[in-house]
Amino acid sequence: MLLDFLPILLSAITVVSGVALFLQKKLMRSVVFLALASFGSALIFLYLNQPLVALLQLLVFVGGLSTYLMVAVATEEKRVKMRNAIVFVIAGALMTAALFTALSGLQTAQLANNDFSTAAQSALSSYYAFFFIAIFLLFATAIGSVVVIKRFAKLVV
Amino acid sequence: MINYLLLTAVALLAVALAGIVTDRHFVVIMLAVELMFISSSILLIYFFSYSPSPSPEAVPMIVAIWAVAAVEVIALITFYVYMKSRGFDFDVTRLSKLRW
Repeated sequence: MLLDFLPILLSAITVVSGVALFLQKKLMRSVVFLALASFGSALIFLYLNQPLVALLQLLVFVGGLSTYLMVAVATEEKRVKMRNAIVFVIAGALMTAALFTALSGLQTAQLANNDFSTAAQSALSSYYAFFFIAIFLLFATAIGSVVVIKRFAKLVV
Repeated sequence: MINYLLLTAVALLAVALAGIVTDRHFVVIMLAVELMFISSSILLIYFFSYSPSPSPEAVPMIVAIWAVAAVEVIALITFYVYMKSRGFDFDVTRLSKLRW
């Protein structure tokens, strides 16, 4: 019984957090709702029997990126300017309806027990170059950001 | 029957798109892009989990999503600190050019 309502609950947590992100007046609260949406997506991965992806999603989005963003915007006191909350809600609802209509023709399949860690093991040997490029991209961006901030913003990092 | 997880991914993408269209704040627009990355990761893992013959190519794809999301946050914070220290307005409609 509870399992029937679980996808609805997880979907509600994620989508409501995503909508609330745009309706906040303070940046800090927006980042908190982004973290909550990421947390909801990790729970969805757990529901789909992918604990490895859920753990990595938590580490990357909630533990890493959201914390980093929270520290950055912690001193922000200016209020976020919304153009029009009603226009945002209407546009979001219309786009959701349009996209879901486009995807509604998909046949509903049964949840297969596909193990992501097994796929990861076979992918590790095939995509070495790709993973190294991704790591190099992250490293270069991190170093570049420190250089830019120290040179132009005159802040101690 | 409505597939709620598919609807979640689609709704998140639509909400993020609507946020980009209607909001003017630089940081909020970048947060909307982050929301799009979350949506695409949900969609990817959804199709991986429901596929009768899943491809291992989903692994580099989700790593790409994580890597680009991380790079975007680093770039966002760099721009944020730079713009704040120079006193730039975060309203994107007032940004005509970025100068060193």
